[in-house]
Amino acid sequence: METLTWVINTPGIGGLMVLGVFSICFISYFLTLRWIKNAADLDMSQEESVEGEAVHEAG
Amino acid sequence: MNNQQYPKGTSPESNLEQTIFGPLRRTTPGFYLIFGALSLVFLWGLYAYSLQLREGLTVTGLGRPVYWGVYLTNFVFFIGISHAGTLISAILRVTQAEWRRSITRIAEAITVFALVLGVSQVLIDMGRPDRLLNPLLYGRFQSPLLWDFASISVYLLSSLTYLYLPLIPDLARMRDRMTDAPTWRQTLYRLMALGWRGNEKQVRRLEKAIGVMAILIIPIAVSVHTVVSWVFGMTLQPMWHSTILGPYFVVGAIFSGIAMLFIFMTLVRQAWHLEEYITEKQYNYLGILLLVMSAFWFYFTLAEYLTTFYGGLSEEAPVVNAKLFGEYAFVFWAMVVLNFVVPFAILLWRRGRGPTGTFVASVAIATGMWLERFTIVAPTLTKPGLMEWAVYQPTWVEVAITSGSVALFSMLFLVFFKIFPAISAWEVEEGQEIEARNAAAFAALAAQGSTGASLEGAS
Repeated sequence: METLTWVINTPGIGGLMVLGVFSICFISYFLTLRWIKNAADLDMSQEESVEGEAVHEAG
Repeated sequence: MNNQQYPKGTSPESNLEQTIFGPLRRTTPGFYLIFGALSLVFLWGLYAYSLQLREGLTVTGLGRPVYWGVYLTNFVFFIGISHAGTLISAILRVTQAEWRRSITRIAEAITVFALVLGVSQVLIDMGRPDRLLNPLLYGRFQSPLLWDFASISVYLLSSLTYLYLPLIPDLARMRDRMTDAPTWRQTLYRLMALGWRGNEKQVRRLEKAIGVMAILIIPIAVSVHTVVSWVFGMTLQPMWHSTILGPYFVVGAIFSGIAMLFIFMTLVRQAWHLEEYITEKQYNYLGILLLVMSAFWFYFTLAEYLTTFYGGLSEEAPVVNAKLFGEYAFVFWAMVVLNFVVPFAILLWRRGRGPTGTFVASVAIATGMWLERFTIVAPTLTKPGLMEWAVYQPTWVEVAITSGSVALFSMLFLVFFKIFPAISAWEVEEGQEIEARNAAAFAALAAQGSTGASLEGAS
């Protein structure tokens, strides 16, 4: 409870929290755009596969 | 998605492409005329703002205890209409409403520009814009002003991303198609297209990102206007300290957002000749939504004012009386007529839910919602709980800055749609493909049915 009071009552901490939230969003959106851009040079055959053993082959 | 590429000079432009690229290539005298008129209004506002910066807020009607007036009214109004993009684009995208496709970009653009203008109103109201960083440097997180800082900055960033993502395939199309554009525009399209090739993997990633953003942006938008309401509601001022204020603000925001979308989509449709793509269907469906929101808004207004009036608490009674019967009665009742009576009289009928009817109703609602924001901000501050009462009369400076802001909002919108297409071409094409597939499936089913019926008849 003391920590919470310190967080919401200390000048400057509020600004840091705002900057933190904004930075997380900014980095997330930037990485999303880069993820889309990088796919320009990939085709479906290069997609990572995590397929397991086919059901009809199991056992 | 149509992921075909268009190498320079090959494959003729489709009807859709010719329609949406046409206004980007040609600039009519009408455009210059409107832009010139808006520029004059903007310059008038700029002059008024320079005067305010020089002389201080004494040139406005603001002062103790009315610290917030027209500027904060504008702030709440602009943040409210920014919900156009969220509601129309995100909710309709999530619910897969097919008719949304031709209007989503206009809605998303309104969101971004309205947010920019909304934030600028706070700067104007501060009087000393050089103190903008003070809330960040010295603010404590217990202050709703910091919550507002956080939610609006995240919303602006998210809205920009949400506008940009569906624009990428169209930017690539313009990169490949608009080789006759000036060099700076070709460079802009090339850089912003992010090397888009439209291969299957890239399309899948883009659609996934848009889907996630559409879901994410709905709670962000709701939080934004709720937090704006809490800036008022967390004070102990009469008629602000109310639990209903959050949802009341959100309902009003969505309501005014749809109205603003109607206004701008009608203007763009008319000027850019998009009648084939923005049809009666969009007007009818969206008109019903506007009607529903009008009813919701009236319900919230009734709930708020009836309980306050009935309770008659000593601090709230003067404020509610000033609104219902006193110096703010004209503004209050004009608000009720413009937000409820006029929309119902027009939109209740199928004939009213066309371009003309919805445009008239939307202009009434936009005006009515600005008045609503004014009746929330000003009357309470003229009759505060713990201070002497005062009179608030906006000056020409506030009128000029407000007019300049509206002009700037329209200019940003005009310039944006002179550089980027007003309709999401790939989404409309996708919709046409789905429609054609459904029609073919329906025809096959019908043929099967008639064959079955004829066989039954023969037996």
